[in-house]
Amino acid sequence: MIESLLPNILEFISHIDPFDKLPPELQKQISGVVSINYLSRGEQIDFYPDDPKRYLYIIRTGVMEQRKPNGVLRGKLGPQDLFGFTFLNPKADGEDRYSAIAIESTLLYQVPHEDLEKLLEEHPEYSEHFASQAEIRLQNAMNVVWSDNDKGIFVKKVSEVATSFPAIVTSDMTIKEVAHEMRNVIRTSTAVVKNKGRIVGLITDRDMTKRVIADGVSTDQPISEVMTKSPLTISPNDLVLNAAALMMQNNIRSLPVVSGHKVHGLLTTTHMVQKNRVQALFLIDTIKYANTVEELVALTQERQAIFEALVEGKVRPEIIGQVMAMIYDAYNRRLIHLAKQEFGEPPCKFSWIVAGSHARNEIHISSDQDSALIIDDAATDEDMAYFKLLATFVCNALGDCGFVLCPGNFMASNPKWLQKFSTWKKYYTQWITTPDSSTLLNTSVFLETRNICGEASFNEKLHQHLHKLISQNKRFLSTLVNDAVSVHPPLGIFNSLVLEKGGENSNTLNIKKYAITLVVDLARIYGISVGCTSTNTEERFKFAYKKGMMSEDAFKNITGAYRFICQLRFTHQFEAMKRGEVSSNHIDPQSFGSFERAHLKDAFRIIANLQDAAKIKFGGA
Amino acid sequence: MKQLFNRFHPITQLEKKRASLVAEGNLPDAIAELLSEPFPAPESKLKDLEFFVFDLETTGLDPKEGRILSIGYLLIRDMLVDISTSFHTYIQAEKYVKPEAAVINHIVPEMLSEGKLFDEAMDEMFRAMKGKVLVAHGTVIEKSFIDAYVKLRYGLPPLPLLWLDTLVIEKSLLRNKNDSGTGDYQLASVRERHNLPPYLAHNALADSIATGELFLVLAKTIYGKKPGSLNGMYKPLYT
Repeated sequence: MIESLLPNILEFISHIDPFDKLPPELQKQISGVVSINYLSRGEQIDFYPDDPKRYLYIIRTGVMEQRKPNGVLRGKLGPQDLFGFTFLNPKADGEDRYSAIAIESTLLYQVPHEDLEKLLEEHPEYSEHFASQAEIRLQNAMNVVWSDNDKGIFVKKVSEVATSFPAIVTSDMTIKEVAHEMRNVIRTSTAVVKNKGRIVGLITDRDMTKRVIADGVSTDQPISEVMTKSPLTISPNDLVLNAAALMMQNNIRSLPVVSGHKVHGLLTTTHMVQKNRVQALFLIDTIKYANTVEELVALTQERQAIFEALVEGKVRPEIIGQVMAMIYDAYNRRLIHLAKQEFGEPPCKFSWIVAGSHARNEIHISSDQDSALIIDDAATDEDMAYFKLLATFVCNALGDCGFVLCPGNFMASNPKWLQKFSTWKKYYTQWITTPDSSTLLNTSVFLETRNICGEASFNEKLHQHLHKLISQNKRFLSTLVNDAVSVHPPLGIFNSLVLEKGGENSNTLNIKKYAITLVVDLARIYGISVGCTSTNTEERFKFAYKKGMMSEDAFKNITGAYRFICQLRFTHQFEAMKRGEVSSNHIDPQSFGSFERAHLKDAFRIIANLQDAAKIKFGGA
Repeated sequence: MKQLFNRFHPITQLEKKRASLVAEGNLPDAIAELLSEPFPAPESKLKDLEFFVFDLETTGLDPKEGRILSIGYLLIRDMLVDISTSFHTYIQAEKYVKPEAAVINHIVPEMLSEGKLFDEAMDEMFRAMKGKVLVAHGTVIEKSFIDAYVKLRYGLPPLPLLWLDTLVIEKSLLRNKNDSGTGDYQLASVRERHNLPPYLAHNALADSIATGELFLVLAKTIYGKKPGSLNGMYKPLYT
């Protein structure tokens, strides 16, 4: 085999993405068809859609720049970087045309498209690594990162985990009859109660103890007297995560698995514990019973361990965000409870809301606090002073537990964000009807809020108020767009530096500011434009796509890009934690391999493209 | 003027020798085939030529005592080093491999027992050289071993072949920069000077690739973005 005599080329190719995903035999074959080119400084490679001789280019040594036909910088590439994907399958209109110019002498390995195509036809399982569209490459990159066998419990479907079955009884049966059915016929802890084929109630063995025996109810009474009416259920296609969330929030231990009124099975906490390590469930339970702030602070390590397990277990970033938010909620609720013990019961109705990423359930290990209090309009000055004490206690204690105090002071302890309901209404009215640069930051934080303790209707009413305002003030959306697109994602990572759009460099990548926030902003804009009530970034895009506001391509592209950068941030935080460092949003580009560099470039480009699209669609008013 | 100049150009002289040797006839088949095509004109564009980049691994520097152990080559076409044209063979010559040489060349007797017969390998190489400009780094060794072979095997004088030597071109470039010309001209050192990646010198083919890349670099060093001609690359060899 001649390929075994090409150690220098093979060695290089086999270590860079995506060739490193190929089996050695294919790597050898590719090494055997390479053409080597050398460009002196200033030499240029032009691409034309109808060029019969096309290559995928790998930079061996040197530096190149990609420029669009109008001269705008598209990217800067160094050793191990690839280019030419776009030209393997160029758009007919040549819209994606660019030139590649050597800005230092450059040695290129060129893989002929023809040969690559033939190899991939014979081995279609690898073809997506070389897809001409960034989105497919990104998606594929994610699959490499997340092996299917390794997904955690949370991403499994309820139907995969729920293996037992409840008793099914009718509402006119007596308690005794139902107990017999549960104990002797089906052997289950739970019975689903039906009436004329419809699910009307639920009874568990615990209910039997509490509501029948302890209360001395006659077992000859119909079951409908003691059952839980309109019980919570879960669909077999739901994620275990959602089931776990329902159970935790409502303090229940079993959920009938139901589609329509058909019962498919029963999911219990025992199931989840037996089948998988559901540490998060235990942590949340422990948090619920903590009696002092010190006890809660002591759980920080455990919270970090769960985060590490989720990242290491390659759980999807979206799910990690949700689980971390559930844990955050549990801390927050417990601390409000402890504050009440400290300062007495609240003097009036209130709603403790969280905002920003916490409201969107997009929490990571170093998320800061975003919270506020909505107080009943009837509150006196004294009442407000009580809440000031409560909020200060909770925010400081959260800080002690590792939830960083908000640097922008978007916290319930700040008098500005501890306000009566009517003041909040005025806030929103002002933000939406007369938006200006000074209020836009407030708006972007408080456009997403979620009640986690107290009077939920306060928050709901404010939401209704907000949505009405937005639909009446079209200019607001364009203000939001213009603000969102004023920050550009970088072009890529080059030579351990972040290449900014204007061609300047910086030596750290602020992944929040220059990537994640940009996507979240876009999701908000698209979500608002179609009246999406969910605040979750992916769901907003999905809703916009379903409403025809964005193409399927654009939807898939941005979702893939978002997942990739979230994954990158989680991994970065995880690595920092393992080294015992404080994790931040600033990533040293030196830590990126060819894999991250290549896909970050794709992700940045996708974000920039959607910014352009949003500008045209909603901007400029 | 050009006509006149060309008449005295070494390539023109070489072409005359080739034509007369072919006209004499009686050449062995492989060599007749090798010499069957006229040499390109000095002003030919580099892009339009095919270069035969090769390397011989030998047991010594002197063809009287040494033997060829392996042959590696590939083509440069359209000024691209085309790996798909790669060829490599060992030559059957177990008894000639001294342990010391094996260390240098990474060649052990077992490899050679699987190789081609010497004549067969040389014939194949001659046929593959047809119509190409030969390129090697330090052509002295390759040239002397080929000359010795045709003399010993066929009683022929040195063949009229069109050689380019990356070592000599490099030397002449350095001389232009007032270099004494006594420096280190080993392939790896020259490549390093031109910022080419360090390649492990494993075998005759790997060295041919390394030489091919260096050839591209030298052409660009001389011509930059302009299209180069054969003459410019050849000049250092006779001035």
